[in-house]
Amino acid sequence: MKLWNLKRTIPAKKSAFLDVEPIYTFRGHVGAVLCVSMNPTGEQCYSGGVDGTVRVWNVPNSNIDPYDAYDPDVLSLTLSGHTDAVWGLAFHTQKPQLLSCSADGTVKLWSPGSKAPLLQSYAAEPAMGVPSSVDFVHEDCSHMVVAYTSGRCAVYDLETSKVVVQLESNQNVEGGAARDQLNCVVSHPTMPVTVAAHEDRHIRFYDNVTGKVVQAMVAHQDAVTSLAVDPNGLYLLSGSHDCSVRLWNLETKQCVQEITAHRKKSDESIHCVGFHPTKPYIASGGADALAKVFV
Amino acid sequence: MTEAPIIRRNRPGTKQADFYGWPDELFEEMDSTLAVQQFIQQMVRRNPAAVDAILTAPEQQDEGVWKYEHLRQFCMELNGLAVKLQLGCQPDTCTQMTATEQWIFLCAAHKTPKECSAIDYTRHTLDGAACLLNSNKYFPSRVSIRESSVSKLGSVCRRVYRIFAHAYFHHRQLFDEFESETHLCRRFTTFVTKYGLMTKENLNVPILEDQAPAEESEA
Repeated sequence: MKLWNLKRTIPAKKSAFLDVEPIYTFRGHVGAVLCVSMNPTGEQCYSGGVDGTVRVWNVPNSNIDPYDAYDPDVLSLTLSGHTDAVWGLAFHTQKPQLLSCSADGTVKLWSPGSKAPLLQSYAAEPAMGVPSSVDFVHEDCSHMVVAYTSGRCAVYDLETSKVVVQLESNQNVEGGAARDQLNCVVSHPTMPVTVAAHEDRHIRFYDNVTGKVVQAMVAHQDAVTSLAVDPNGLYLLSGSHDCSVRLWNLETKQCVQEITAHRKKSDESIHCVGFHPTKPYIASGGADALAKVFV
Repeated sequence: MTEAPIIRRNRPGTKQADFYGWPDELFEEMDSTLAVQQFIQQMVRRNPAAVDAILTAPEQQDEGVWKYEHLRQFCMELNGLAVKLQLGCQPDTCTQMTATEQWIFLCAAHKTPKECSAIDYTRHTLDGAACLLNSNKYFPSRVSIRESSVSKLGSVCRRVYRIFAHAYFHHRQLFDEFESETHLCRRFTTFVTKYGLMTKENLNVPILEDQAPAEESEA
């Protein structure tokens, strides 16, 4: 896992873009790191990996010398609990809580700072499938939304672990084909809306209260892998295996910009997208080993 | 059920045991600029111990690109050894980067070479190698490698090799654990020997039982 200081760029002769070198490399996971999250202050970051662990890291100062001595305390904590690959992480915007979902079929709630970090473990009914993505419901922080590989999606109450609303899915009950899979789900920062990215190229908007699909659109030419909502709730960013990143106006649901970024490796192209919390930057991470930042 | 096209993706929710669960692809059929990396990774997954098969280039493959992609892959896989060393290699016991008693290796990642502790040497060398192999200045393209940049590969190999050597001589158990899973040292030694990227005297880990005595003179 690498940390970058975007202010430190390398002079390049003639280039449309700037080269940046990482300032810190976090090593700890055994095998691939699948998901990353940060706490709102940027002091800690969290990673989930194929090895089933979630690791809590203290983020080094941004002026650090990349070739400094090794400080083992950067790894603050290793949260073991999952028994299979951890695919999704979400950090609460107000409380120091972390949600993780794993291929072992469970979603876990952690409080990384406390003595017994694992607060609760949620296992869904087998019919729902394996969780693929998770997010806190921003507009009601006692809820979380979980998306499954079966294409189903539900909002749960964090305390009772009960399903509050099952979001409508138009897939067959027995379906479960790979095409139906839900890859990513994000909660709108202010409205009771959940946005979901599907393997079948669609992005669907769900009303959290009724559970119904408010709008569905064919967003890309291949599976939509990742979503991000800007902090103001005005724009949606989507990344897809069709090698493009698209920016959408959330009110009109129109695509305002499309950027072709990243090359394909096997059948994968873009794995994740994100907004900067305060600056007008968007970023994408791809299977071609590149992370790109766009202004 | 109609035959679905094979889509080679690890979708979210894939279990660790099911990763890369797709059929192998022929090199000629790989339609990507990253085909060489895909091909090498596929070969390694199929059998990490089949060192010679992994290192055999497809016909008409550009040798510079082949060497570059392999070195990228080695640096990536060596992170596994670095993670093990982070636990076992303490800066107060391994204060310097050494293998056998003869040499102390200075870390080249700094403005002036520095006597880093072994764990710092390992981390800096791997980070530095990643930066170099990714730098647009020396390797702007992954599809063709400049002649002038090919020489950089040799010095990266030399520094990276020392990580194996230190682990072998000072952290034998960690080395053996890692090697039995990945066969990385054997593959690396065979790789640098095959492509003449390092001289024999520097290869001090006795990993190849059938190491033939050097015939040709070393450059």
